[in-house]
Amino acid sequence: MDLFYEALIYQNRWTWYLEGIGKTLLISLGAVAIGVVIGVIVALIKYVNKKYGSFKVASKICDIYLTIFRGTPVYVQLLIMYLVVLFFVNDIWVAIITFGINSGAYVAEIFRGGLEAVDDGQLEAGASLGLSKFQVMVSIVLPQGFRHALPSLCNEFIALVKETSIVGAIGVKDITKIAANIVTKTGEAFVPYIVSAIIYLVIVIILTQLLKLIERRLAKSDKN
Amino acid sequence: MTKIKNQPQTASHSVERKDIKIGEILIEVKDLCKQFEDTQVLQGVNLQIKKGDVVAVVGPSGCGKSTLLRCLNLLEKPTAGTITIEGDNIFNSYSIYEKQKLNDINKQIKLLKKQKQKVSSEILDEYVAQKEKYLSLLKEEKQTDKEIAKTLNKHREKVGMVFQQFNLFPHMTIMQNITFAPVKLKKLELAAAQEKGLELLKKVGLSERANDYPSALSGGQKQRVAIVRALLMNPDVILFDEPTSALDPEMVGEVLSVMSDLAKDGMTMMVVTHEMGFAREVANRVVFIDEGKIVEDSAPQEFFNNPKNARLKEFLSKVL
Ligand SMILES: Nc1ncnc2c1ncn2[C@@H]1O[C@H](COP(=O)(O)OP(=O)(O)O)[C@@H](O)[C@H]1O
Ligand SMILES: [Mg+2]
Repeated sequence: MDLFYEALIYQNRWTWYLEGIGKTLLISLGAVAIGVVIGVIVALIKYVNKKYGSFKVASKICDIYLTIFRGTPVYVQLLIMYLVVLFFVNDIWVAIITFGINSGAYVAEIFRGGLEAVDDGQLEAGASLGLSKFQVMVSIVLPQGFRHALPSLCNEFIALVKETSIVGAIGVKDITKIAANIVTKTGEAFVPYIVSAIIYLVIVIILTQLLKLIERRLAKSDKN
Repeated sequence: MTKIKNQPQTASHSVERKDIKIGEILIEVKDLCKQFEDTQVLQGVNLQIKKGDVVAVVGPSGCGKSTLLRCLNLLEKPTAGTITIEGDNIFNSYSIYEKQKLNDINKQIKLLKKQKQKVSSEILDEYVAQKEKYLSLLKEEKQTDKEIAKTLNKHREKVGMVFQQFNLFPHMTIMQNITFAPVKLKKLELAAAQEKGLELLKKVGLSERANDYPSALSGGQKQRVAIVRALLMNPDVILFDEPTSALDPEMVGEVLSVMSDLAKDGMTMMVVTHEMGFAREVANRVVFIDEGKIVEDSAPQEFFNNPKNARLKEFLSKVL
């Protein structure tokens, strides 16, 4: 009981966890927002390059970006960003930006898969009506590609929430870092870390249920 | 080389539309060739389509029927020949030939440079001069290509297409499917498009399904919607690529009857089909493709009862 008291009640330490949850969610949401913007742009550039042969240089640059950010650990990326590239930026922003750019690389591949799942006949039907490539992309390919990619995008977000547990390395007080701080104070590891594990689990379960709901909705509108 | 004329847009409804009367030439195809990597599919197709024509295109599978149709609205880019629609050239076939020529010359130059000592510089100079010539020609044509590309979408508005696999947009309702392009391309106001769309849907017996999604429709219904979608663009000609081949047998009739109604209304149509009954009764011309060329082009009566080409005789003996 004492352990429990020290880890949660004493000095209102449970409120620290709330702050930690706030930081974790903030970083995850911020990162996914940046990730989706980058991912959509990169995926579109690569898709258009493949279909129409335009954007040659941009597509090469995208490849380099994908190789670097998918080929190195996000922990190392975070340290490099914090200590070298963005040393002048507030640490939570460093976390959001780094995870955003990193996640963008994964979202790009997810989204490209979604776009490529769109039948070529859709592009041809659009073109045969006299629509421009741009109009076909925006109004016909994108909505369908997004719909194909949505379940994987949600999974990427869930994975991201867990991945952010390393931001303590640059001093951001997220769920994991809060637990670690309490451990240093009390000298006892069991309760704080179990509490943080449970918090992650609850967040993930809630998000998974949400995802299932979305998928059911989509399946229903597909049948329509 | 015919230059594309940039005609002023007059009313929003009629875009570059020319007043072509029944019986006048709408599409003219000359020496059309299309080559995929190593297969020469079309090898000099010549064809005239006059306004009001219903041309059935038949031939064995793989003979290039789809390729020909797709070349007519540049879903495939031909490798040589000309296509004019309402007198406007819709693509420039010269650049491909010249690119090849340039490639050859570059190879020659490389070869000559390798054996520098042995050849006189005059020969080399000659090649370099030729290279310059082709480069400048290509540059000029790139400009023409650009001009043609600008008007390509305008040409496509005039040439409707109905696909074997329907290709309706699954994320749009039937009404959105048919009104999207004409509204987006400012051919019709939304309200007018919906009104006209509903009228056409009624004609094909689908006005009740306007707010359904394509996935709720049968194949025959989808294809009728696809026809309405093409129609609402008010095209001068509609290309049909095996419109009934993906349908269950009991649905073939409903689509063919919509198409023959269209033909009776005077719509110019080019129809790739295996339905010989349709070719015989609805078309006013039937063409047969063999070895990349049109080898028979005659009225249905003549085509079926008195075929001249040996391959056609063989083909007809199989399908009839
Ligand atoms: N995109 C392509 N790439 C390579 N070969 C193709 C392509 N499209 C068609 N072909 C080839 O061209 C030939 C004619 O095809 P197609 O026009 O579809 O025939 P049809 O419609 O008469 O059955 C076939 O041999 C086919 O394999
Ligand atoms: Mg075909």
